Amino acid sequence: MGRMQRREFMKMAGLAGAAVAFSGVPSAMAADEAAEQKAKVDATIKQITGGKEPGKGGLELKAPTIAENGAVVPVTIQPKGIVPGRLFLIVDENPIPLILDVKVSPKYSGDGAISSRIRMRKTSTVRAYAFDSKGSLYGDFKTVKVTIGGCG
Amino acid sequence: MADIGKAIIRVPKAACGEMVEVKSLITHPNDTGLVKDEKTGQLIPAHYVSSCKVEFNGETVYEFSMGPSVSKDPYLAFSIKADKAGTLKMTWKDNKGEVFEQSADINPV
Repeated sequence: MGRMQRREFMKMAGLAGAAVAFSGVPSAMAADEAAEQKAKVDATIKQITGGKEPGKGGLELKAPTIAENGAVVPVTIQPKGIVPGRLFLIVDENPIPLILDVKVSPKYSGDGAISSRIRMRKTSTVRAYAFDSKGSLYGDFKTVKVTIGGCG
Repeated sequence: MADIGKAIIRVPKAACGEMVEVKSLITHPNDTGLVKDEKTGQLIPAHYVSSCKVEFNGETVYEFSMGPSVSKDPYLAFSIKADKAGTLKMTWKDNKGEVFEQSADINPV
């Protein structure tokens, strides 16, 4: 979409939004937000993977199925049979999806796990990616249900 | 908040050549910059730990780049192969340019 076109579009979207606000149905706005969020996540993933599809196995993402408190969600990335050189952690629904980017020097790390505690705004897919020392990509995903959001 | 940057590193006892799981915690508000102060209605400016470097005997083992979505008082656990005695040094940096350091000894038996 060109610059002028985009501007026109935004103007129209603004009007539509105002109309929606008056009619009391905010679903169009919510849909816009969801699309924006998805574009953000897709861009982040593409930046990391370079568009490659991750291989199966190689690592396991450990996170609770239901997190009661979104402010503190324990996560662990456990390599399985690979020696990772770089690890990533992404939460799809967070304002800033990329949470961890870890460079690993395999000499002392081996296939050791990495754990942290993260914030989650709401129920979301959590993604872990790993590149092994040969540059192969692996991924594991999990949906974590959040009862109380952790960003406010 | 005088306690900002106060860090704890726990290193369990390990046999030589085995993996030791090191746990670390640093006191830090880790404000995302997206939360409003309930009293003033103003956004609390972002103030979070953005990176952490782990060195063992001067060699870099892990380099963490962290987003503001890491919880308050960032916790990191990782493993290191303890094939000799040495010093583990962790260096945290926050988005305001402050640097915090803490060291721990690894003594495999």
